[in-house]
Amino acid sequence: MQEATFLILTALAGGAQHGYGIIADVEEISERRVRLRAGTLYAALDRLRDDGLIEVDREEIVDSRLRRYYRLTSAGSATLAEEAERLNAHVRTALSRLQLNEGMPA
Amino acid sequence: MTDSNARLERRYRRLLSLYPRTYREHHGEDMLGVLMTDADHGEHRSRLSAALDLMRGAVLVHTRYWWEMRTAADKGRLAVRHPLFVIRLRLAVALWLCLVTALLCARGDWWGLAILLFVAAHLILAGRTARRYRSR
Repeated sequence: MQEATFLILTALAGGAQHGYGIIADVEEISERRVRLRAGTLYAALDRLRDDGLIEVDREEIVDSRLRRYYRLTSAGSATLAEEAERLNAHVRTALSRLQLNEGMPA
Repeated sequence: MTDSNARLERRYRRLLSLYPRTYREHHGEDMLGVLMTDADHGEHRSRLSAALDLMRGAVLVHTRYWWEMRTAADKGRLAVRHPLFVIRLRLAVALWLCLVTALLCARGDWWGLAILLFVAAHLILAGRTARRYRSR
C-alpha cells in the first residue's frame, strides 16, 4: 500500500471527512511532511471507492460548492488494520535489531 | 469572487477537462472546491504544483479506466468463458477448410491453396486459446 493511501485511510478512520478535511488531516498525521494535492487525492479516493474500501457518507453545499464526505467501509477498516499490523511488525523488527547491534563496533 | 479567482477557476476547469467524463461528472465540482480553498490559503507557487498534479492525476485515472475496461471486456470474451468450445470450433473449421481446399485442388482450381492461410490462422488462434486455458 502506498503511503498516501495509508494516510488517507488513516484520516478516514477518525470519522467521515470531505476532500479538504482529508488533506488537512493527512498533513497533521504526517507532521507536515505529506501535503496531498487535489489530483492525487481524488484519483486515490476514486480508486478506493471502486475497491470498496471507502464510500460516500453524505453531501453538503457550503458557499454554493459541493462537499462530498467519505467514510471507511468495514472492508476499508480491515485493510487498514492489516496494513498497520504489517508495518508494526517491521518497526518491531527494526527496533529490536538496532538494540541488538548497540555496543557492537561498526 | 475576484477577477483573479475567476481566472484561476477557469484554468482549473480547463485542466479538469483532461479527465474522463464520468470521473469529471462525479468529482469535478468537489475537486474545484478543494482547489479553490487551497488557492485561498496557499502561496502562488503551490498553484503551479496543483496544476501539474492535476495533469498527473488525469494520466493515472485514464490509465486505470482503460485497464479496467480492457479487463472487463476480456472477461466477456467467448474464448475466456468457454475455451474448450472455442478450441474445438476452430479445429473443426480448420479441418473443414482443408477439405474444401482438397476438393478445389482435385478439380484443378489451384487458387484453393490460398484457403490454407485461413487454416493456419485458425490453428494459431486455437493454440493461443489453449495456452491461455492451460495457464489458468
